[in-house]
Amino acid sequence: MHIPDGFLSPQTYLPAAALAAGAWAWAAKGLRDRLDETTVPRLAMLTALAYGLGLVMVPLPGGTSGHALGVAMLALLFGVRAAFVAYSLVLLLQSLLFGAGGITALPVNALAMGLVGATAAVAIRRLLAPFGDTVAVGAAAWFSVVLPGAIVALVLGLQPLIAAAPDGTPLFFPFGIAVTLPAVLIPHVFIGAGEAVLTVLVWRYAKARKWAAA
Amino acid sequence: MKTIALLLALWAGQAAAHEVHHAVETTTAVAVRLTYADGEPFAYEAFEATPEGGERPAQVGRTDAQGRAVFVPGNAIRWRIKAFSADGHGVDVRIEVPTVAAPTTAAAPPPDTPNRASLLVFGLGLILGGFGLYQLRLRKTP
Repeated sequence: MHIPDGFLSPQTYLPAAALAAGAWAWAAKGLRDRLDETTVPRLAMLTALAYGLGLVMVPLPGGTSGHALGVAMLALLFGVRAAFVAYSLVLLLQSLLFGAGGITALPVNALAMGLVGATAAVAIRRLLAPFGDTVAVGAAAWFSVVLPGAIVALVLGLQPLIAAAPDGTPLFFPFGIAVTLPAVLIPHVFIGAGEAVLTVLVWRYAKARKWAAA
Repeated sequence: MKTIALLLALWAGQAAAHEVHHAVETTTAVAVRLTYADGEPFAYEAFEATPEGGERPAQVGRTDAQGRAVFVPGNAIRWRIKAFSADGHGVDVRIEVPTVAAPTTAAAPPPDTPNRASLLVFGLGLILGGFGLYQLRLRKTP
């Protein structure tokens, strides 16, 4: 799901960078008040876990492969703001060290996976809380993968419309939404299922140790 | 009858214009191998090869089963290779290739890059170290 450099037009990544800058400022504001000496080591550990998870490729049906995000567990345990900052750090390191996702695409990747993923996780968990922890947390994790996937697919699929040569040749990414939506979403339905299982396990572990604040 | 013959002659002429001829050439091509991080070939995916300064790709196509993007570089040395799958994976890299006159078998050795495990540990160190510093800062400033 990490969009590489060169796939997005400046008309896309420049406004996204402005939007992300505002979102990062919002997320960082008051972070110290929400984090203390107890929560920082836990946040560090789960950020490291999310970083590692993003680099473990799991084979999927159809010959492709995917990886978990880990943003849902960050959001459910530390809130949207902390999760967004932490996951942006994960994306930055994955981009700089492994080339997984581009620097110019970082704002879009961070907004999609870090902000929308975290917000979706918290919102869905609250919405489905009456159905019990397992269902609510599992669904939250599933949506935290599938919704960012849909956004990434839409952003990619819009590129031929946003930036094309006078003869209509796409300048940055050649596939339209009709291609990108199923191509991104179908694998992420399975990835979301794996993310749900993983997040429920982490959630139970954290809850047993009274980590959960959300 | 003459009219029919004339129409047939015209039709045959037009039909000939739609033929595609072929010729076998022996030339020098460059193969850029693309793989996912786990070594899986980036197979059957779209790619573009554009010479430096070129406005349009000199070659567009698909990688083969082993993830190779093959193109004929001619005299251009620096190329931009862009490969993409529909789900947003891919690369956008700039490479240098030997000129046609140069011996093409002597490929340049890959750059000495740190291995994946080292980078993973380095990244983990940055995360844990960064949060550790933040923790220290929290303690110092009540």
